[in-house]
Amino acid sequence: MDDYLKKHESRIKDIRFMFHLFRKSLLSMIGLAIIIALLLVALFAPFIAKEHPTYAEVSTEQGTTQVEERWEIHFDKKLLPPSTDHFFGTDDYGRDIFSMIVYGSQTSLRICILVIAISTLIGVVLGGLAGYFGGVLDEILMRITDVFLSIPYLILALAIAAALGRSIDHIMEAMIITWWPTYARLMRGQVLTIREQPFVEAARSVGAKNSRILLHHILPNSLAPLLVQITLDLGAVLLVAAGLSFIGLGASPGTAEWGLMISDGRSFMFHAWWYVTFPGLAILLVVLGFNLLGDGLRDVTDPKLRR
Amino acid sequence: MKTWEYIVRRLLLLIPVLIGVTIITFTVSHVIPADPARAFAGGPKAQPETIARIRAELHLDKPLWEQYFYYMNDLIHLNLGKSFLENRTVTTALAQYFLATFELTIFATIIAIPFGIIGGIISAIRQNKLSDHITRIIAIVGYSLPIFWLALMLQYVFAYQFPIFPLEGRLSVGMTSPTTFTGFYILDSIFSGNGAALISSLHHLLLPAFTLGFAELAIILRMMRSSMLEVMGSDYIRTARAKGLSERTVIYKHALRNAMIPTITVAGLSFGGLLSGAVLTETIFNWPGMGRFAAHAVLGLDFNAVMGFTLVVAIIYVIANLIVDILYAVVDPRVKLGGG
Amino acid sequence: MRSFGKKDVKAGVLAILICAMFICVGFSGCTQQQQQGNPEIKNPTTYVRYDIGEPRTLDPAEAYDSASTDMVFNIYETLVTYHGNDTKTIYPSLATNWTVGSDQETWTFHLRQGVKFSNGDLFNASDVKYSLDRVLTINSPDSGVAWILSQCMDLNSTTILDPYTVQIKLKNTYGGFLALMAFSVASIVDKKIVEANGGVIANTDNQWMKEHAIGTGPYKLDHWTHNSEIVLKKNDLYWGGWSGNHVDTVVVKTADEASTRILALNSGDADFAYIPFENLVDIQNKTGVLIYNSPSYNTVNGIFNTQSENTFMANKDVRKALSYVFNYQSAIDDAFNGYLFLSPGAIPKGMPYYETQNNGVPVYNHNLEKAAELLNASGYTQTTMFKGKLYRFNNTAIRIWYNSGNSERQKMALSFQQDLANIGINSIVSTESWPQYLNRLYNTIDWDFMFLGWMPDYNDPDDYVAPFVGSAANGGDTFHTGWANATVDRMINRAKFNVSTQIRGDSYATAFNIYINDPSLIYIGQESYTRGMRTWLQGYSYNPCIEYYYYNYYKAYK
Repeated sequence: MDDYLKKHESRIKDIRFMFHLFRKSLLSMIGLAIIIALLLVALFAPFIAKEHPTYAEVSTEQGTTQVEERWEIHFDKKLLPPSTDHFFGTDDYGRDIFSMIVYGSQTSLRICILVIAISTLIGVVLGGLAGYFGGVLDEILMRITDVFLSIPYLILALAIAAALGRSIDHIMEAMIITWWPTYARLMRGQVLTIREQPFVEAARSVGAKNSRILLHHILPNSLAPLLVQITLDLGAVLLVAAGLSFIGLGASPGTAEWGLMISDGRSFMFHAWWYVTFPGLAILLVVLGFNLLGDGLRDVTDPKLRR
Repeated sequence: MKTWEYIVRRLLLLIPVLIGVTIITFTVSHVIPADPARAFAGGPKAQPETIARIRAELHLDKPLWEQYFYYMNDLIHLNLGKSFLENRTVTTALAQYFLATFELTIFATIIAIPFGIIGGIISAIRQNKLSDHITRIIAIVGYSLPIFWLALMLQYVFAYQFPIFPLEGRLSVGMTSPTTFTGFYILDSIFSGNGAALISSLHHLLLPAFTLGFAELAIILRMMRSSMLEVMGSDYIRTARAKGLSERTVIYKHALRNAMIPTITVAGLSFGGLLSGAVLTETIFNWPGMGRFAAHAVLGLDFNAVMGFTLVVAIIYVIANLIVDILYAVVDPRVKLGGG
Repeated sequence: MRSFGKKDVKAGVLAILICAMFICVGFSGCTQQQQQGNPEIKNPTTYVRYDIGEPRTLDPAEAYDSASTDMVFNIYETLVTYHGNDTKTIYPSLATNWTVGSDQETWTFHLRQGVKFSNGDLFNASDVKYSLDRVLTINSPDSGVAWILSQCMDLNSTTILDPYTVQIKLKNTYGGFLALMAFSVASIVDKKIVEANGGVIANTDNQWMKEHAIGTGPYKLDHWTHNSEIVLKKNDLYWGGWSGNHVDTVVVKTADEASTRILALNSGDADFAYIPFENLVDIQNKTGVLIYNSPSYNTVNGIFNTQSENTFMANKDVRKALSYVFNYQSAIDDAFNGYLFLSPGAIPKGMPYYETQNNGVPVYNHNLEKAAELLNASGYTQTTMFKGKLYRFNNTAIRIWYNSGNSERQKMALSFQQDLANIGINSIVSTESWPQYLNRLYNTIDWDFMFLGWMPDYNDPDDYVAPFVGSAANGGDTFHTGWANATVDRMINRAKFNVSTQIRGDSYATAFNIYINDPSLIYIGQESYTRGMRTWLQGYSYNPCIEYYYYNYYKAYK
């Protein structure tokens, strides 16, 4: 154990230093606070919200079952302005916008985390293998990513999501298809750099297996740039998802999803400003949080900026 | 390698990429379980003959690979097929909408680049002062904003509560569009000496262009700031300062030029963001461009239109990146084209 | 007005009916609310409408959707026409008078002399023959509208007797022939212009005519910027002249966002706008703005899939129970903001034989106890537990669909879902784009309940009863419910081929009593035709045959 610590002493020092820098940056800490708040809101939604969805089990077109949320409709309370009863007012179905935003945080988090986790996984595996082994595999992968990266994110996701049909799962699938090439490229670039480093050469010369080199030497050393990219992308994913929902491709009607709420509220903008305003503020705040956090992480991990 | 050789090589590389794009969009749009033929023939009351004719015209009765072959064959002849939503060819439709989108994106860029660069410089030279904090906050809010929400908020404030800008469109009601030379209303109204049209089209452009350009402004500002800071901390700037050059000379003659290089790259790359943003901005401001056309096509499953749009966007995007690479070499002679 | 024919049906009905092809609702007038204080009139000589969608074509031989025929009616002219909101009388237009032979098949039209097209070409009989034959020859592949003429005309029908007289000899007697001649497809085009721009090719639409238009009508096309605006300017050569009050410019803007249209109307930029029901509140009580509404034959229907893989949908008591679950009052108040009235069955109010449906009183109302009773009696009790609630049908969800963007249907669907949950029925509300929606309806059984509207082709209950509850084998079941009943089919055919009011009435009553107790549809109601309008716009009244006739419009306060 002691040996381990000694071996990694410089790296631990490094991380400590980064942590110190991060704590010193006010904006990064604000970002962190926003994200922690988001997690807490999502986790404790039932205790924060005033109205709560009920849940029903339904089978999907694919034959699987899923649990869907339902919000009680009260047409007699429609489009009420913000008040102590309804902090953010009500929508055209008389539902409490505050509660829907609170529960909507769960949906947003789920979209961000799943999309990024799966695209990172695909990207890291494919990019890592391609970069490490090179050759035909690398060439094929690069040409494929070229194609995907030649269409802007939103537009590719738009085309795919339109084809898959309206549902949150489908926009997540569309975004994964759109996003993995970025990570594949990033990982490949990392591998190409790290592969030539002396410590990898050394490991190879003592006969370490490819799998060991990839998992124990290359992967840990590419984590920092990956992490920065992930944090920044979490915000971007949320924006694209909200955009798709806004166009009308995302969440199914009646669910608490921020982009959908803005889309629904749009026709009532002139006599119910609160309907579009608050869900938008929620998106802005969360994306801001991810971006502040990501910027902060990048600043502390990028040696050039560390002054 | 000579510049033109490099350009030709890059353009040739574009071909496999575009074939790839057609494969993706084609597959995506043809696996949809939908009945476009019936929808285009008029819905529940459609006549069977019309449905059958449209199916045949779209080759929907053929296997998928064969349909793709037909599509590619048409594409080689620059025929993107027919948009059933608009009852005309996709090529004609895109030709009309392209110019409106182009005017909007150019104007957005005109707003974004200068303000982004100036903001970045101010932020960098007054690092950690109040003006730095303010510009940084503007920047970070700028790229965290959902663009469609920004558009709605601007409409609410500036077109509804304080109606100083028009809500939508390119020209005021009852105003005839200027004689067409370029398809850009601004240029056309200048060329034809139509002052009223010039003012009206500028008035209509401002809100959507600002909406569209704001995120790009933020990205450029941020990039400019960090590269300025990096450059100003570098050895040769320190040398320049040590030589006793004025701060002004140091900043504008030495630092700026070098800090511009990464900014140009970012500006080029964010062009993709502009095209995406155009889909949302145009829909909200009722701007008769490609983006709004695409949003309609996507919702109406007019797949010839969706494929045509995606293809055009891919071409524009790839060419924009190529231009960035070339500019890069012009600004920074150390960069060799095709070097890697 | 977009209507597609069912020729087989027509053959029976048409001989016996005073057939108004495109029809008006025969009851009650229009209500207008006027506000005090008159704002200054904007663009006093220009009429501006903000609408959704845009024409598909400007060619009379192709135009079929209402946005296209709207333009055709104002740029071109027909031999005969309608005036104001009167859909019963047919007036002279390019023909000054006409006679019909004793065989009821030979029509002679005397044409107006000295009429010029907007380019100066003189109008005469050869243009009439050319125009009518052109429709039949082109047989528009893009819209299929030619059937309207081809049901009683062919290329031998029209003969030129002299430069100002034409004779039309019908293939067969056709009661509604004059109504056909008043429809946009019978508009007269300039032979010289068409010949100079692509001419007539069999079974091929003329690309030039889609985008260009030169007619004898009061307005001429100024420009058309697709999906943005169409502008018409007055035709100085118009034979009707320009004395009196007329707008001289017409602007029709495409604005797909409701908020845009609302703002334009409230600010006075628009004189007329399509405002969805849910947004009427935005223009209510605004100075200088009124809500124009007029009854229509457009019905709103909920559709059951009796062939669903959820076999309980085949049970008539389940469908009856669901009809009791539906909240009709909420549909009126919350989805349609009051602009919907209940209908008892397939035949809409205003049509003959409406009273044969339980004297016009709806059979079903919102009654959850009754619904639960029916379900329990059929053995569909609440047995399956999920999250503390007991569900019927083993917690199988009823799949409710509506097409995206239709907020009235969304409101009805979600409110239906809530009511279903209250009696222990699980359901899932989903939405998809129009083409996918149609695919689901016509090519799959993956749905239990959907919404569709219906607009009339002709003013007879047959246009409602046969497609709604007739069996597929009998040329009905347009909504793919899979429902069929031999007696109902027999009654439909008896009513169709019979002249006697007594027999027709009896037949519809018999059919009603069967189909309402084994419902394949929920007859939700009939919409009002509702538009937002500035009070300064004069000369407008809703005529379903010619929705807009700008020549009558002018801007002033009364």
